[in-house]
Amino acid sequence: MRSVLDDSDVAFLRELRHYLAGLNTADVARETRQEEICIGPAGKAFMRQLGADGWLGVGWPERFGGRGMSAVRQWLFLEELDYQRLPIGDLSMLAVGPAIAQWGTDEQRDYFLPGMLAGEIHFAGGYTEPEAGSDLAALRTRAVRQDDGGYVINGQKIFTTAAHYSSHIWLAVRTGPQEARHRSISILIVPSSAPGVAITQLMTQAGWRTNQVFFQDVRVGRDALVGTENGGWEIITTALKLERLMPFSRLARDLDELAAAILAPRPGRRLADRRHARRVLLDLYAQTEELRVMARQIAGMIDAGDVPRAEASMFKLMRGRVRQLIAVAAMELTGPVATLRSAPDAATVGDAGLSAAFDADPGDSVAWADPDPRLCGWPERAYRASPLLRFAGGAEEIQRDIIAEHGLGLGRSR
Amino acid sequence: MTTTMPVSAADPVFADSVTRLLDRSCPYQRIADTEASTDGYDTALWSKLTGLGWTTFFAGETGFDRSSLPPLALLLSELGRRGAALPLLQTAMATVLASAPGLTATGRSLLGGIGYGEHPVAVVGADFGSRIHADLEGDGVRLASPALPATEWLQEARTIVVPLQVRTGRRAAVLPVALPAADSRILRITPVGTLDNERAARAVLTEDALIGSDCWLAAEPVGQRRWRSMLVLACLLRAAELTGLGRGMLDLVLQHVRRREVFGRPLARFQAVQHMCADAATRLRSATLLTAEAVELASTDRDFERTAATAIYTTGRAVAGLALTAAQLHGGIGFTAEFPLNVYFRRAKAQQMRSGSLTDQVDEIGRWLPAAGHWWSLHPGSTAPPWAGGN
Repeated sequence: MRSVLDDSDVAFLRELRHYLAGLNTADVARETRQEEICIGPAGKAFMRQLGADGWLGVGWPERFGGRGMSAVRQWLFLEELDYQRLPIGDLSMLAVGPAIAQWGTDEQRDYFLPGMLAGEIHFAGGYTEPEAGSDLAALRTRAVRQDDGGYVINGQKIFTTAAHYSSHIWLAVRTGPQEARHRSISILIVPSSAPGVAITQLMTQAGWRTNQVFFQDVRVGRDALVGTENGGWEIITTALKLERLMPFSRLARDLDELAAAILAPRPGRRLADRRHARRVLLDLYAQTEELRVMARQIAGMIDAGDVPRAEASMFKLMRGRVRQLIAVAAMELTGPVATLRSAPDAATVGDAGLSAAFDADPGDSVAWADPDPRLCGWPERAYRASPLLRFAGGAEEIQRDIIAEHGLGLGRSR
Repeated sequence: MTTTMPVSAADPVFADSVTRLLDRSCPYQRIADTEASTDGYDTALWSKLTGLGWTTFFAGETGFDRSSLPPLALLLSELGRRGAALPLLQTAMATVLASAPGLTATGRSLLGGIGYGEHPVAVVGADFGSRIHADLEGDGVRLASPALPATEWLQEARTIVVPLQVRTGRRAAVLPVALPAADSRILRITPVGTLDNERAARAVLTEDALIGSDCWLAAEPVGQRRWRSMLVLACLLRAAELTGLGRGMLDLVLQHVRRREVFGRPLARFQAVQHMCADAATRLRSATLLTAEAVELASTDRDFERTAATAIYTTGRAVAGLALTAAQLHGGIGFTAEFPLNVYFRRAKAQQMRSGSLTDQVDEIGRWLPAAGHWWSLHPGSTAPPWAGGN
């Protein structure tokens, strides 16, 4: 299998870059750096713009309003947005839309897909519960079918990121006996504003918001069911497959900017320290290159009709770790100043972090003990955020189980 | 299966022939006996490979033929998978490093000779840290020290390629020369033991040996950047072999954990064991992918150095790390001289170190990167996205 991009892929990227250069994305990028897991107002406007210009749903089938692009192109699209620190689309675009296209009724497709492409319908993912995270088949939120074919839902979800601004929740519920585990799970589409849905804020150590969602006697019609009753597991795993194309290039950019800040000549810095720092950073560069070739390969496998199961887990495993290693290196190479949230002159360097400070004129008067303002604020924020990718979307331990079972043929250990 | 990742897109018919021949002629169970043999390598296998043209096809009359990289990388990796030590890697690396711009008649004759089977050929100092200093003196060049770095297969080689660091004016450059290994008036060669199953030797120039211009492979010393590029390409071949060595070790590990039972179940069913295997396989896969990409770039005449230097560092680390995991999971049996794992364990570290210390290897990546802050730019002013890779 080839690993280098061909000319038409590079031409596609140029086209995308040209398009993005014509939009004013500075506010979106700033907002995305502040808030990584939710899409803010500027991000929503950006997504609407992408939708209006036909750039959303690049991987969706054309008959549902998408562009039907190859997996390699979809991956390139995600990487470019990620590199520019733009929102890559939420669960709606990456997983729910394609799942509705595959499993939904005609009515569901006609209603949801155009709304999502127009940036008006946003889904929050309702899988995780306090007692069912990586072991999703243990979920307990129950939906009981009524005489009219509708359902009454009771239960609780947690880490329902985006619920507070979503229009709908893509909800995994128990519709049969608990013991049947994955064979008694169904998917319902629940309006976030339905009576009985209570969304409460749950703040993370990164300073980002996620939510808990409580369902008390929430009623939905029979048209809320996606696919068949108790057939939800297949839909969930299909949607998870679609999440295998994940970008990493934001990490690479963070690393590059960190390296520029750390390696900049500064008075009083010993040469030996710079040499050491350079080697630490080059080692991380090599690891981001490992991510790049793995991501490229996964996209290529999907296009070739293969299912990159273990390969996707390998990528996810490494991506989580490399992100954390970059954050840890940022702390360790910077020293005491890394512990500070921002320079005193927050307007100059402030919470916008490394990239915003990068744009600032280095001649700006920053009254700070460390002469390089670029290192103020970013490392501590990156460090606080660093555990996320090691557990979200299936913990690292689960990824290793998948690699061992499906990639190495060692059987189940659980 | 995740472990069967090829290192290059070589012709499937060739790949199939290589696997069949080596499965028959080079089983890994025999490597310990071969190591203990008089020659130190399987001379019958070497003859077979030579008869098939597999020890020469990469040597063109004007130098190393880059389009032969995919099959060569595959062949080396398949030999690596079986833990085999042969003078092939040294011959191929010497071919790369003898292929200087401005070849002399000596250079053309050496390369043409390799193409006709006049080998093995060895090269000393083919790592990122070695510097063999010499001074230009009249028509010749004189080494600062008569002792050359100890290297694999010097005793078996017909010719030894020696890259000399010289100064031309204020410029540092590299002059590759070829020394006739068998001529005791010029070289004294004494064997020296190694960590693994390679046969190494130390060569010392006889006193006052001035290397005449008839030994020069290039009419002019090669500029540093060009030379480093050649060196990266040569070391990429070693990385290709290492990917195979890693795969061979992983196969041994998987075989062992499936068979070996403890507390009433196979080792393979313990989550702790599975996770060690998963981590090792992940690292091996990404390293193999990087090596494959570098091979593809170099064989199609694109900028390959950055990817290749990264691949060399990454592959060495992945495979040497895998060796530690393999030894741990095998326990006592892996520690015995009888079981072949010990050869892989020794060879992984030895081959990793032969490209230079880890500091030298990581610094080599830095040599091919632009200044920090532009690491992810392909070319200055390029509109192509930076992470798209080295094309």
